[in-house]
Amino acid sequence: MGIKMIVLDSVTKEFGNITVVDHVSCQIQKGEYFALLGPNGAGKTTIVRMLMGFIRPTSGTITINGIPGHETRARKKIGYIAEQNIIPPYLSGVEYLIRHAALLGLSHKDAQKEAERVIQIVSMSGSENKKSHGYSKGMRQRMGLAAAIMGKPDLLVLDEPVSGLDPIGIRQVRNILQDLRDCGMTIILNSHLLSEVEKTCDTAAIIHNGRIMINGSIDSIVTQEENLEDVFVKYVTQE
Amino acid sequence: MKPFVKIVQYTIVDQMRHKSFYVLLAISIGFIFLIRGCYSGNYTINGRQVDNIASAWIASRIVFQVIIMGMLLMVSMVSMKIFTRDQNDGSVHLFLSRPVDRWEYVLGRIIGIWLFFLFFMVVLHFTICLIVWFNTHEMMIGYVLASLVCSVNLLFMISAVCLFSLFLPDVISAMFAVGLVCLGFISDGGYKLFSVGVVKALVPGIANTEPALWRVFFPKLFMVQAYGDSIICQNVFTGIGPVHPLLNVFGFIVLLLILTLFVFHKKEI
Repeated sequence: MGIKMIVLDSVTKEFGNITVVDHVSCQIQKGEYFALLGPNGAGKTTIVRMLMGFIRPTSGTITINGIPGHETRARKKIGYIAEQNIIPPYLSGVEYLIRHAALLGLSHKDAQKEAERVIQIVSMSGSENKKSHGYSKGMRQRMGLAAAIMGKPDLLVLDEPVSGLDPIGIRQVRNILQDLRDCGMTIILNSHLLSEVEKTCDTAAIIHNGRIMINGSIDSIVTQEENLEDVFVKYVTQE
Repeated sequence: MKPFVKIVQYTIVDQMRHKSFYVLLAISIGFIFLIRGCYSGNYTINGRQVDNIASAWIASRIVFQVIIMGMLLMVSMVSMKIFTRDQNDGSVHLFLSRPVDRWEYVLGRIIGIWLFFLFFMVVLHFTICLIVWFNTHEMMIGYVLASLVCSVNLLFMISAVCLFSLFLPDVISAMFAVGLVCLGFISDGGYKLFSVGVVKALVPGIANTEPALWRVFFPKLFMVQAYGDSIICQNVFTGIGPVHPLLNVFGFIVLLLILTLFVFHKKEI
């Protein structure tokens, strides 16, 4: 057993009378590349938002690297990219990154260096000084990824990171994430791209109606089936 | 504390990015210069020359109040959009996905807006000070100090609008806060008016009227401005009720900020 990076213990989230996440429990080990799968409205994004402390669970607990998830210090070593990464339109890409770095506690000089480093990684050189309102969706996603990997976080929480990217962009992001995983970073990927998940992730959980239907290594999930898509369809269509 | 200071800094910088700020500043300074003749004090009444320094002071005292009221309206319009705009343009995720406490974010935004408009207001008041000095060679020593004192009214307005905007639509929250301030102005303005000797003589029995308790403890923004005016004139200030208006407004600001932090802490982003 490795070191636990994330522990979700019977986490439930209700919005009024609607239970969006229903007693979800799972553990993610340090250095694991974990995928959160499920149809639209399954509760994946709600779990991600709870991990980031944007919303609180109605019941249950979330622990990140031994720290309760709602505490600010839990986010010290987390990088996050939202499903629709929005960059304030009046900021250029580099200004956006420098703000992220400054909020991580880096000095202006170090923030600039760090921004340059991540811009190179996501291949955004040449566009970093443009105002973000001129960015395409793919460029915003890449800039979001650049922001997420600033300060070399221990944990990366990615909500549909390749949404809006062309096949070349998807491949680029895949390679970046593989490199980060190889460096020992824990990655949580919320995605609809099952083939992508099958190619890259170590473990996955399929969520349906707020409940985890199956959770384990990719190999153990697809053993008896043809591929991950078949497993996914089987679990989300069964009642 | 560091993220708080950063957010204050970003708030000020972001406000300065708006071209409308420079247009407004130019219009305001232009307005002050256009009426510069009012501060020269060259008036004749009934064939007698009015003391030019006295008339310049009266004109500048009126403009002092007008500027604060204009600022109150402006901060209400800017503050009503703080949280909604941050939600829409991704700023809230930028800040709160990092090790930033929610109180740092909320206070950083509020204090940033306040400092920005405080600077704006002091520049305008200082411009009047300079014009009067240029015209009359008389420096109004308390003018800028009074401006700083009255800036608590701006902080009150920002805090109130921010709190209301967490429950109400943006425009309604601004209108509600402006309405509250107007009510206080009418209540305290009326009290001040009825305490003038001539009015007391004209309206019999008014001298014995005690203000209702709610009026005594209502936010005393008008009285803070009256206190600012007394600083300019170096007069003795008489307020309403046992609590000094500055303490009253400061108490309300603290209450509003605590409520805003409490509500925002529970808010789902």
